[in-house]
Amino acid sequence: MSSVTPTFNVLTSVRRLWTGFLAWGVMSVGSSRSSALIRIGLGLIIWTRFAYEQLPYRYELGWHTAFSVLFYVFTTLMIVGYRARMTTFVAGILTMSFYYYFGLVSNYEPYTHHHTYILGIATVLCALTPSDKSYSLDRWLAVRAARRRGEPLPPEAGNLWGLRLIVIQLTMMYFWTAVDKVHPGFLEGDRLEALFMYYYIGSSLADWAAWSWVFAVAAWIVVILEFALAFFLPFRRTRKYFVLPGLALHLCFYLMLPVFTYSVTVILLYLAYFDADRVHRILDELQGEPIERRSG
Amino acid sequence: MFFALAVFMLAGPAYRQVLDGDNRVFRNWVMFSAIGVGLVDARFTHLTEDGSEVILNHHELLAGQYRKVRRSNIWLIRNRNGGAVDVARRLCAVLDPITSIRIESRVATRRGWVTDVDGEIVNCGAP
Repeated sequence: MSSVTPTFNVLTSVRRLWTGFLAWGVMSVGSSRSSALIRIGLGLIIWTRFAYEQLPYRYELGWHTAFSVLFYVFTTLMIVGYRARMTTFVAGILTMSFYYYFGLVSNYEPYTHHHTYILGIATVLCALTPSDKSYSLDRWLAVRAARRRGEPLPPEAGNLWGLRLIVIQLTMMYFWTAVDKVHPGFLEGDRLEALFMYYYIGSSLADWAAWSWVFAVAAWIVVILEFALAFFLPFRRTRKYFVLPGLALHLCFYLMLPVFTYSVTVILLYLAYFDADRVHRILDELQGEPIERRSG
Repeated sequence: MFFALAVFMLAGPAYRQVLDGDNRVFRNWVMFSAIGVGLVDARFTHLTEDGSEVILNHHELLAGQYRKVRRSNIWLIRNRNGGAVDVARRLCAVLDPITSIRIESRVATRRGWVTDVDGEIVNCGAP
C-alpha cells in the first residue's frame, strides 16, 4: 500500500505543471525566424488596415499629422527590421492607440473592433520576441560586422517568451469568444440566423423548415471548434488535428463576414504555435542551398 | 513582465464577461454579438375579401421604399422604426384598401429571437 497521500500527489502534479509552464513560457530559447515573419506580416497588415486612413494630408496640420508621420516611420522601420524590437514596440503602441484612444476615448466605432485590438496587442507582444535576429536590417548589419571582424555569424535565436504570450492571447480569444456563445440563443441557431438575414437575405427568412436546423448545427460546430482551438492548438500532440479546421474557420469568417484584417492576422499568428526550430528547418529546406555553392 | 501580461490576457475577459465589469481597458471577446440585433423577421399575410390568405413578398411590393442596405436587393426591417407594423401600413398603400394584413414577426436580440408581433391585424381601410 502506498504511503503517499492524495494531497501530496496533487501538490506534486501542480508543481510539475507549474515547472513545465515556466519552462515553456519564459525559459524556451529557439529560432527567431517565426518571430521575424510575424513582425513583417503584422507590419504589412497594419498598413493594409490603417495606412490609407493615416495619410498625413488627410488631417489639418497638427498633432494628428505628427501621429501619421510617426506611424509611417515606425511601421516602415518595423517591417525592414531596423532596431526591430524598439520600432516594433512603438508601432504596437501606435496601433493600440487606434483601439484605446481613437476607438474608445474618441468614440470612433470602427477602431473598437476586435481586429484592431488583436493587431495592436499582437504587435506589442511581437516586440518581446527575438524578431530582430532574422530577416531584418539588424541581422544584415550584425552579419556584416561579424564577417568584418572574422567572428562567427550571430545566431538566429533568442528567448521565445513573446511568442508564448501570443499563444496565450490566441487561447484566451478562442476560449472567451466560445464562452460568449454558450447560451440557447446562439446554440439554437438564432444568432447565426439573424446574422445570415442581416448580411444576405434581409428581413424574412425563406419558408424552408430545415433552416433552423442548419443554423443550429452550424452554431454547435462553431462553439465546439472554438473551444477545441483554445484547448488543443497549444499542445504539439493535438495541434496537428486542429490547425486545418482553425484555418478553415478563419477563411469562412473572412469570406462570409466583414472581419477586415482579423482572419489574416490570426492565421499569421498561428506561426507562434509551431516549434520555432522546426519552422527554421522548414525554411532552410524551402530555401535550398546557398547561392555561392550553386555558382561554385 | 511575462506574468503581468499573461494575467492581463487571462483575467481581462473574465472581468468583462463573467463579472460584468465595464472598464474597457480590459478587452472582452464578444464578436458579432451586436450585429443584427433589432432586426425584424416578419411575415405579412394578405387577408382578402373572399377569405383567402396570401403571403405577401414585402421585398418586391415595397421595392424602392426601403433604404437599400447594400448593393444586393436585401431589405432590412428594424424594430426601432415602427418595425413590422409600419411596413404593414406601407403594404396597405399598395394593396386593395378594403383588405387587411396579418403580421407575425420576431425580433433579434443578443439572446435569440423574441416574438415581436403575434398575429396583429392591420385594417387597410382604417385611418
